[in-house]
Amino acid sequence: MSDSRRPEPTMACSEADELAGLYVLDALDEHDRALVASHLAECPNAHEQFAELGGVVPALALLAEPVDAPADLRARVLAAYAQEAPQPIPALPADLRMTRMSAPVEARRTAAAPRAWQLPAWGSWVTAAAAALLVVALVGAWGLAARADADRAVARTQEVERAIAALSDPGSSVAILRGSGPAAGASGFAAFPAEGGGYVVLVDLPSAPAGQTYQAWYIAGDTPASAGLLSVGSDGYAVLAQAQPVAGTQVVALTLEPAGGSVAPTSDPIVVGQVEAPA
Amino acid sequence: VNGPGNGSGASATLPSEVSDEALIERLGGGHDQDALADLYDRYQASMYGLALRITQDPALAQDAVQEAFLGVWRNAGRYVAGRASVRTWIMSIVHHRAIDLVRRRRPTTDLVDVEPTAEALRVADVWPEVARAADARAVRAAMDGLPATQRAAIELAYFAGLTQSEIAQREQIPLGTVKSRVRLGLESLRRGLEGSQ
Repeated sequence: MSDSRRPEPTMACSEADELAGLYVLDALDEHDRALVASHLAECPNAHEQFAELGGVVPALALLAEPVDAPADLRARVLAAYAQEAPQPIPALPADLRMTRMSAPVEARRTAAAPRAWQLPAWGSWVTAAAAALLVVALVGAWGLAARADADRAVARTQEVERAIAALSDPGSSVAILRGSGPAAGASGFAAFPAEGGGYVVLVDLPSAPAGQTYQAWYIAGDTPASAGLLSVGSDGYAVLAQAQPVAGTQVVALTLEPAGGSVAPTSDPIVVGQVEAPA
Repeated sequence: VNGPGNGSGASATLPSEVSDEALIERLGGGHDQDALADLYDRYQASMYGLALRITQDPALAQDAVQEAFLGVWRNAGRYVAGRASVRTWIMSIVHHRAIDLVRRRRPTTDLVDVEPTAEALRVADVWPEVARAADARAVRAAMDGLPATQRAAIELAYFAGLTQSEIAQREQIPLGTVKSRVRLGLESLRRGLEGSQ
């Protein structure tokens, strides 16, 4: 709270409006740009002029003729992405799949889910058999997909293998997920290893209705925290990788949200699973 | 030679049923190189064409496109559908990158070092389009309808990345005139585009 003299950046609304055109074109000199930006951030008035003029700017891009980039740029862009984007967990040795499929996932009692979410009662179905069936469904789905799009299917098969490894890791917290309502028939699991990113995997999930998207949530106590958006493949498969549940997550749930997602759920969950801590 | 991305009209080889929004979602949801590759194939020609027009330099234009795709990935979680189309959002990102590159090359422009976070915020500064369905011909017609001085001011700002004072210097006009030419030009352009709908 030092009282050092700071020149108050002030600008009248009318002055800001006059600069709207240059501002939306990003053509103000830095000093003026900063003044306008701080005025807009603090001013209670709507300053519609900025949206009106700013809405014109995207059209200007159409004045540039499209030109195919040199062929090698695609590889460069993807290589830069591969270098900078966090890599998923390394692939498993192939022989792990069978042993992990047969590894029992113990049924454990779980804390009651938050009441506000009105979880459907499905009874006690968290069994090794349920998990094993799911794995079979997943691998089967990918066998089919492989014929349609080999590269992508291989990548996703590896992803499924990593997800299954996380599911079968005794150190993982896991949840078996079941759908209801619009997502009836969907099933899947969430698996969060002690270290590294976890997975939320679903099969037989119908496409989200137009204008809506699936959003996953971690629920700790009564508080849902967004786990991210899930897009569903045409084969009904959806996966969220690098999942990092919030501390104390008891439930993993999916809701349908307006496209782009929501800060907090705006509808009842249609896929739910209770998280069981490692034994 | 590899991949389907050697043309903008390769719709037969692209999963065209996947929406742009879904690709952005996937990109925001975790490592998804396929989503980025699909977006690349859809938009590389538009992006490169714009970057080339701005930078007038193939190497710089390629850098702009590459940096823009990394920006798309880093900001995918911030993309708000409904505010602007994915195309508009992506084009505004490559526009910013290209302008930034030409300004850095030009010693006259008063530049601040843009931190990645500050850049992300500026990237988000996209206004809802006045005319989502506008095509190039309609925009060109609307531009042609402007007085030449207004059109020049807008083009110097948008395509050459000149700032207000640089435009004033180049056109030998007072700062206030630059301000009004740009504002009146954009207002007329808006009316022209709305009329073309």
